[in-house]
Amino acid sequence: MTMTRGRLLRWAAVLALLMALSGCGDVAGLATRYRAERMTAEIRKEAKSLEVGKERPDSATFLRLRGIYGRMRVSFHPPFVSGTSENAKKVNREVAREVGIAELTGAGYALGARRPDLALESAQWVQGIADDDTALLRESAFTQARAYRGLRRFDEAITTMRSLLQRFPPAVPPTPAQEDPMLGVPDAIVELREARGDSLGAREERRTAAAYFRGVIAQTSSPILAAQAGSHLVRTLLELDDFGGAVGELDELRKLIAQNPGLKPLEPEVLYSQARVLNAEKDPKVAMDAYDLVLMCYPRSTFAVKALLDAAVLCEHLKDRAGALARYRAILDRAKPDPTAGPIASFRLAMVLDQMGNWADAKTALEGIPMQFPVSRAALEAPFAIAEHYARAGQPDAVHAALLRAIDTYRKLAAQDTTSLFGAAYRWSILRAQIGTQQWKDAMATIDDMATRDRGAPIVAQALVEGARIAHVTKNDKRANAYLQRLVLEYPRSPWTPAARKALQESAPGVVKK
Amino acid sequence: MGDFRGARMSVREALRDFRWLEYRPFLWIMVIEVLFLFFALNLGTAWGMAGAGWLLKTIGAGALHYPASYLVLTIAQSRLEWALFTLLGSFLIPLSLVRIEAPMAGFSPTGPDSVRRARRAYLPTFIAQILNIVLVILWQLLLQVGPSRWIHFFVGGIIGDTLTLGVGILIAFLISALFIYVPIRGVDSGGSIKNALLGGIQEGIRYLGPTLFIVLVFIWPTLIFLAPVQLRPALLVTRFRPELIAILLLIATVLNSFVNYLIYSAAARLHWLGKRREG
Repeated sequence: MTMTRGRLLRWAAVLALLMALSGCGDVAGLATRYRAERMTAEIRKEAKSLEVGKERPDSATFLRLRGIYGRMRVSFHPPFVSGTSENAKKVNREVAREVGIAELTGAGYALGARRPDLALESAQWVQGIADDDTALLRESAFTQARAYRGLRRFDEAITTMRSLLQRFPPAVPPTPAQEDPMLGVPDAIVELREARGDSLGAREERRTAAAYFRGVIAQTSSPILAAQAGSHLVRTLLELDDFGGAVGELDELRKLIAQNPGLKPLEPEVLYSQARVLNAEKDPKVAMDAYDLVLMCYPRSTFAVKALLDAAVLCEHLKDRAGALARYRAILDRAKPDPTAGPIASFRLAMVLDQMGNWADAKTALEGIPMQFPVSRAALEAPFAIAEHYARAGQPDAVHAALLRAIDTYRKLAAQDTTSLFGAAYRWSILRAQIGTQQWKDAMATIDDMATRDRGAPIVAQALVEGARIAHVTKNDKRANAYLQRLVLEYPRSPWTPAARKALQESAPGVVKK
Repeated sequence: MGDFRGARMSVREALRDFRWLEYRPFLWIMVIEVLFLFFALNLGTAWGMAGAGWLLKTIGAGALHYPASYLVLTIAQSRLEWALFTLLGSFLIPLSLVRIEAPMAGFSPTGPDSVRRARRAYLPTFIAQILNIVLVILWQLLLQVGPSRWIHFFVGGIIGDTLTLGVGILIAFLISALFIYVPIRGVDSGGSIKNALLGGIQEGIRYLGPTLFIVLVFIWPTLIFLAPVQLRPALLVTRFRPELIAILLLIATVLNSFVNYLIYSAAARLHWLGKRREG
């Protein structure tokens, strides 16, 4: 009995020592980190069970997934680990990263569910806990930019992206196949400007992007990063029509690839860019051979698709319609048509078919574009192309019917994705079709809708001008002035503003503030 | 052949004559191992981290993360087992053997004489345990550079891995069988350390076949639980739950504790049988 009591006391002493140890040192922090990691693993498992199949989850599932990832934030509160030692701070950072990444993953799902407001709140919260964790700060800034974009706060999105570029230099990837998303930020800014119809701004952003890529090349000692920035720079210079600059950068890129065999994956792009330069230098035959070489050497590369598209356009210029058709079809016959080249190929294929007198196939191709590639310029233009064909053929009834169908199509597209950047463009297209069918009342309703929902988008300025014109046609001068006043007040830098100001002064002097 | 018959008899007798008092020294080792696994299963608590973290940390800082802690748990537990068997086992195994021998020898299994005999066997047992561990580690290193590669050259995948594990375990058992008689001789003879150690190893070589037979008869249930942990720990972590590794190890540890007792009990009986025959 005495022995048993003695043993029990010994065990109790050991346990007491362990409990005492648990209160000091980093044991509690390490346990917290362990719990956070275990919860992350469990959350991932649960989330994976919800994301079964290849279909995009619906908004309800997205929000459910966000809720699952949100459990981390609910379970762990900053400061995650108490203590002032270096080790405690390190563990605290690790827990913050675990919780922060889970929250940002949830924010990604919120964006999927078209709730950018939730995503923005999450990103801002993560920014608050990130302390000096550069990776977490960077990820939260990325999410913030995406959330602003979703909220249609485009200027804030651009400002956030610019601050990303200033604060976080791009990371050196382990292999050339991987690329730091930071290198894609300048292109995203350009895309945002273009999507808003701000072509001048986009051109300016391209110049800024070129300077950024040049800076990255000058500062990095990594050949992989230099080559990746170099390929971005070549692309940007080609978009800026700076072919001389592009040739110089291509030479540098080629040298870099020759010195580093690991950079071979960049060869398709170099070859393609070279073909583009040849094309721009008005040497079509040599350019065509260069495009075909890209296709022959790297048939599976994304640049093969781009080469096919460029070559097809070149064929059209050379009046080789059969060659153009074959190339457009080759792009569309791929298992997964390229989302950028696909809609262009489809639209141009229809145009060539129409020119060849095959209107039935051309119409089928045009009608399919909004369904297959809803978020594309081709989707915006295809319904009008049908109407234009009938206009050329002198069939006013068919034109009217085509425009009514176009309105229906655009309404469906706008309803599919209410937060899409293309929303303003869809509504603009609806307006165009309504003007074409002289549905003045509906047209003005669309303009009012645009003025509220797409406020700030450059296309709205043009819509307001149309509104004033329609109001004049319908003898509603008061409404016309209201449109012009809105244009002057909300879009002072629009190219239509000076004319609007003048018109307002003529109709009612003293109304417009200078 | 006669030795194998003796081994069979010893196995039967060891199973029939199981006594808690004789087994209890092995229980203490098992309790510590189970406690460690319990702590390892609760690394999310401060006391769990304090109880198991220090040992896991010897493998690397990554071992304190989830689910990596479960992937390296087998290694940590092996290290603990080696330390326990060397430091505590060098006394507790002879103590158990003394308690088995006590009714035959005519002294009290819990008296001071038993403890004195067990203490006498400490040093030879300790040296034998160290030698055993060193040889097993060397064999494991050799296995990776030699037999494992040859086996995988002919058979890949899970079959190759299973064959490698089988060969690895079989040779490790052969090595252990060489030293199994050291504590038995240590408590049995009143002779020197040298006599217990060298005599024990000589006896181990002489009874290698029957001893291996005894080991294999008892060990297979443990191997059933250990095999998935040894062969595909990553699969258990990713497809099922990482905690499954600790559960399997827990079952294997409990089983192994009884198996160790039964192996020593049967080997001791074989030793005494041989001694009686020698006259």
